[in-house]
Amino acid sequence: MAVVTLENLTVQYGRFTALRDFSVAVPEGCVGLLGPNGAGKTTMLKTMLGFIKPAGGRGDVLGLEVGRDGMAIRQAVGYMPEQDCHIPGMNAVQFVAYAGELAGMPRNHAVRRAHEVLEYAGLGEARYRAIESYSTGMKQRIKFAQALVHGPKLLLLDEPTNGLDPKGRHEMLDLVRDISQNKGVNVLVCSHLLPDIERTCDSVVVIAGGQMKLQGSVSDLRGLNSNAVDVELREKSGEFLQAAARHGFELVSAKGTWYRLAAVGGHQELSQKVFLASREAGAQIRGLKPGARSLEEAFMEAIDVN
Amino acid sequence: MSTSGPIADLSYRNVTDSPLRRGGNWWVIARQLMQRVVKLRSFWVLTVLSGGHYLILAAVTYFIDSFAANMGGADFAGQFFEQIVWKDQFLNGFQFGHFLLMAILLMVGAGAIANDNRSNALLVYFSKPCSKLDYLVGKFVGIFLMLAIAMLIPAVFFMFYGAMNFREHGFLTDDPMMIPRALAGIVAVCAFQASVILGVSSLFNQGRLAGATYAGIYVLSGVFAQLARLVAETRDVAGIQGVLDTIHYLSLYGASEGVLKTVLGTDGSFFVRDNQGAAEAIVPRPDLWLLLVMVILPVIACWGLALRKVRAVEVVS
Repeated sequence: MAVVTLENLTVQYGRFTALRDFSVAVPEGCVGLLGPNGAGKTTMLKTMLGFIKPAGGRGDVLGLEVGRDGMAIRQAVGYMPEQDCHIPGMNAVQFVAYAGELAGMPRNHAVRRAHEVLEYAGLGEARYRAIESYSTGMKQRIKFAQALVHGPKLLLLDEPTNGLDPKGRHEMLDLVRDISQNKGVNVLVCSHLLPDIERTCDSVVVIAGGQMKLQGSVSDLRGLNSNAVDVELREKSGEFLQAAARHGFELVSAKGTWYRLAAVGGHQELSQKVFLASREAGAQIRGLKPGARSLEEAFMEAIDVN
Repeated sequence: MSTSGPIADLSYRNVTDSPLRRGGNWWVIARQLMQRVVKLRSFWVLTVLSGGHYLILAAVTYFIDSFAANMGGADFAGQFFEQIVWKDQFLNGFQFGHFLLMAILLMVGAGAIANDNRSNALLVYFSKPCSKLDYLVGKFVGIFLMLAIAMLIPAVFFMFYGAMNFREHGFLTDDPMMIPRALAGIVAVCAFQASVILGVSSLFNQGRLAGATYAGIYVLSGVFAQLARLVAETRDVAGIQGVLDTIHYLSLYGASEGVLKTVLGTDGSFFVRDNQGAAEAIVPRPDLWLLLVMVILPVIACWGLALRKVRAVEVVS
């Protein structure tokens, strides 16, 4: 079942069209929204929340109509913005409890809940410090906590690892993974950092130039080149490449003694052809595996091809 | 648990049973603003100082009431209390403390929206089920109530003091509607000034800039009005008294004073009724049309500005 459905959505800033006839169905689970800078990712999130009125098209979030049910959507959704945001003069408990109250929670519930989510987000010991004194990593966590305080069914995370050091990034990604895998909250992670998406998400939507370019599960996207094999030889061999070409292989890439070859056929068939070519060329094979792409390769291909 | 980091904590639970709070978000926002201000010692110091007129008046009337008769001045005491126009004292109280009240307003309201703009707090407000009107009404009510508290505490103290001690000198009988009128006048002045600073604050990304702008408008418009009166008076231009009086109200301070005079139903007096030396400096209360122009237009303009400026995202047109 889709948690977000957008149909032919068009969003404009004056004359500039940020999203053009954009349609997508975001499935349950943890979904990555990938795209280069200026692709329209944040615009999509802000349109879903009702911050921006679309020029055309329609959409719904958790069964609520975008544009008409803005308040109900924001009640059911938690949003972690990309920019630093806090309310001046507050400590973390006050800030998160205040966010809970704004989301409709009674004061005592909101305060109790603020302590819980701050503990969960790793700010337990710093929760009584003024937010202005927080490091970048702590500010990211408090944004995460305020998005989570009212128990949303869908979390929208806009660049959650922005400005984090490797350890902080690792911990934030663990949190995102945990909340979606173990706590049953649907998460839409918006990022241009492919490793982050690869690590946390089950499926991916790729946007570029305000249009959807690609959608699918991470494993599907990485396996699109399933007719490729990676071959490692003992040493570089031109004869091997000639022999491989005679068996129908095309050289995709070469890196040192590693060759990625592509041909039509299943993995079993391709492996046999590789062994035949190596025998003919007198080359010694050190390694052979299916040629899986990285998400980055799939992403680059998606935005290039389209 | 899939995570091994120290921040993953199984204490997290989904919230499905939380009851919804009664009342609108505007009250949550107003309460938060007020909670911040009541903790400021300077707010209470300024509140007490702004009530200086009432304290001085209470001391003077107490002294005359208690000691003048013993010193053979029973007639003096009687004449003194006969001369006092009680309702004018609320106007005098405002005139005495208006600069301090401006300082309180800057403390409470200058950063109300500007500081939220600076820290991107609007994204937090509007990503929750909180409308623009909730936000603005909440900020307005917070500023209005804190300013009203600052003006009402000294005024109400004087009302009690007068009602307890000077009923026989006409405190409640000279104008039976004096107390409701004074309360209504203070409320109207607070609403006017809170609306103006709300609009000014929405234009800036820093509370200090918003405060400096509001203070600049407040002081300069007052100085301009006084200078214009002074220049016209020194040239002794005949027949323009009405224009001079109108100019007096073309400032934030003048408009506030005009509201108070109109609601109290007085032109004002300097402490006692027949202070001849000062009587010429008294500016009669403004015409209602002028007052409406000077008050309603800025209020509408400031609310319009705030409604236009306050949004979760920058909109490029």
